[in-house]
Amino acid sequence: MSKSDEELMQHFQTGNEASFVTLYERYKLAIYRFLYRKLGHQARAEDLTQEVFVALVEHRKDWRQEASFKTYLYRIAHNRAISEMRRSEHKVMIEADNEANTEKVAKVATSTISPAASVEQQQLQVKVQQALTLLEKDYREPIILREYEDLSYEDISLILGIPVGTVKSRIFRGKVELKRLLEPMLTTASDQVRKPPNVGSPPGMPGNIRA
Amino acid sequence: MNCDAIIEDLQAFLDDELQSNRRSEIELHLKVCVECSQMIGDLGNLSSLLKSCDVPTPNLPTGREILAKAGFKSNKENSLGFFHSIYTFLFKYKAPAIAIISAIAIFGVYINLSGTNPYSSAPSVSSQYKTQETTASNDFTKSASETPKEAIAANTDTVSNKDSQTNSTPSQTQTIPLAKTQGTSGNAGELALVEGGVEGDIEGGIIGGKSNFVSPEPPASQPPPPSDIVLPKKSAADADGKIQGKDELERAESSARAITLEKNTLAKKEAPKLEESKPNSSLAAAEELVADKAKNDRSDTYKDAPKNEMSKTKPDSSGGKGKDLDEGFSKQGETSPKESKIVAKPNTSTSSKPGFSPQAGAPVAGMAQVPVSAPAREAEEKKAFIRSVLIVIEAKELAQAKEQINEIVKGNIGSSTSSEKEQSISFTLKVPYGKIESTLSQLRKLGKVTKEKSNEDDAEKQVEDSRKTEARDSNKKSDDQDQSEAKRRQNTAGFAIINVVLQKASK
Repeated sequence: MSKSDEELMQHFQTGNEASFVTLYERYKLAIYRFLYRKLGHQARAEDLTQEVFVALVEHRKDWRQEASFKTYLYRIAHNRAISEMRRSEHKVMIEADNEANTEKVAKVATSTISPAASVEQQQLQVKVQQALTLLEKDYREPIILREYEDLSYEDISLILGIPVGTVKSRIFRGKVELKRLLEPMLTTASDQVRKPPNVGSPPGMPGNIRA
Repeated sequence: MNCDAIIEDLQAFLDDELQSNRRSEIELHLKVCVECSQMIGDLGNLSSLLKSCDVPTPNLPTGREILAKAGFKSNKENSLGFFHSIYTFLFKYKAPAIAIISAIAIFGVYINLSGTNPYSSAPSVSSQYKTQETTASNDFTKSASETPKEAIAANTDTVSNKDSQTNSTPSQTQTIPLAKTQGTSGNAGELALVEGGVEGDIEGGIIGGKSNFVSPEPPASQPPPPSDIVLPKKSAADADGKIQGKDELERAESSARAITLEKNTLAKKEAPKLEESKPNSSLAAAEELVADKAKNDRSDTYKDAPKNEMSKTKPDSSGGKGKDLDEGFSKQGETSPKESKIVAKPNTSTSSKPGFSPQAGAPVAGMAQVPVSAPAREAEEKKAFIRSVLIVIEAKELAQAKEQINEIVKGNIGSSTSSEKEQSISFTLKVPYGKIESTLSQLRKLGKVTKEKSNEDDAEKQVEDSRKTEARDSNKKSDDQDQSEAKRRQNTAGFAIINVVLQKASK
């Protein structure tokens, strides 16, 4: 029976190395994905992921079980990302290397996508990543945390330090913006997702929505 | 319900973040509103699209590497952390670490050494003082075998310490360092160089220029010599002392200087009235110097120098009470009696030589007349005789007895010092000579007296012994000695020393 995140963290606070290793394995990819989608840069996301967990080790005594461990960890990652973005000209680099990142994303995506759908999927993934990076930070962060990390609105509010209502509105507006940016692809994607060929439901209908 | 009221909750509806009542409302609205239904569809597709986009596979370290990078130490490491840190410090900073460790070790040794004798009451007293103290207490130790040695030693120690502080006690265990000697060459080294707070200056090479004992013309304001110094009357007999040997004369000469210095210091420290303290003649001064020096020369160090001040009895003690507190040292006074008579020679020198007045021609002659055979004894004889008594009392309540003793001392216009042990308290009382008997009688009432010993008894015995050893001397010499002794005993000091040892009475 695996221990909860909070139990492992408590053990780690008492000096148990194995507890930290377990927690690290559980959340390292999630934190990385979060940081990658936030920064749009793989190397930076990797470095920052390490910094997040190093900070967790150094400040392990600061966790007082007031919030869940997941929230506490993402909070660290969020703050580190903000610091990183302020320290480096992240937006400029994103714009300058946008094409390079797009290619990189495309290449990576290719490896995980079946060759048959790889071209379209690749293009789609590149477009999505670009749309995310172009999205405003205030919209991007809660969307990433919700869509990719499956965090609740309450956790997102704790991580970002904003009210729950603000989280809800930002997610909606951010997605509306993304929808506008990805309108052409949405139609195509929805078609691909909905394909079984026998289904003739028009796109956008509630019946075609996959949660 | 219009669409504007619910449109922002559509995403929350999809994310199942709405409360049940709100969710029900939206469901009803979606059944009748096409646009909102389309919006929910689009939002759903977008979520699917977003989630379908993967990220590049990262290259992340292991958890242990993260821990190492953060400098994390497990519980096991923390338990040895101290030693590990010490090892790291020593390994990394060898030289400073060694220096620090050495400093700590030295400091620890110093603390150890300084704390080895917590009862040491006279840290400034040199070892020779302690030797004198030990010897001085021999009599009391012998006569008071039941008395704890510690009490006696402490008592004696107290006495000696007091002596060292005042330089005027009968024990005279300390030797007085020579502050400076003018006109003395080579002899300065012979003079006492010990702690004791020399105050006297030797001016014009006259030792004791400020002392009543030496200077033939003491200043009027000069205080009388210390009470512990016996000042025998200067008689013609003294002046007729003979020098028995040149060597002895030289030794006595140097001794005289030391003795004079001691007396000078004693004179400054305390100046109780003496019945006979009239160093009017340089002869007397010379004799004293010889006697003192003889005592000093008995031992290589100046341990015995103070004893000279006490001037233990001469072999003959006719009629006198040659008493000294440190009777144990007195025997040494018999070893070189000749030396004490050599003082005469220094008188021939100029005023630069210590101890002799330049104006006193008599000292030269007088000194030459001093018999060489018992210079030390004569010096002792001429010193004030100090009666000392040792009394050991068993009391039920030490604290109460202590208070009573303090009251007794006050009543008899005396002073006291004490040292306390777990089961005993030692006092050194200094009372006027005339009050000794009343003080003793009061002390006897405090409890059971297990021991009482006076130096008068031993002095008489010693006089007899010395008389026997010098039986071969001329009759005249013996007579002189007897007379000297008698004079010494008559020349009692103005105070007496009572060593009281309070013991807790056993139940």
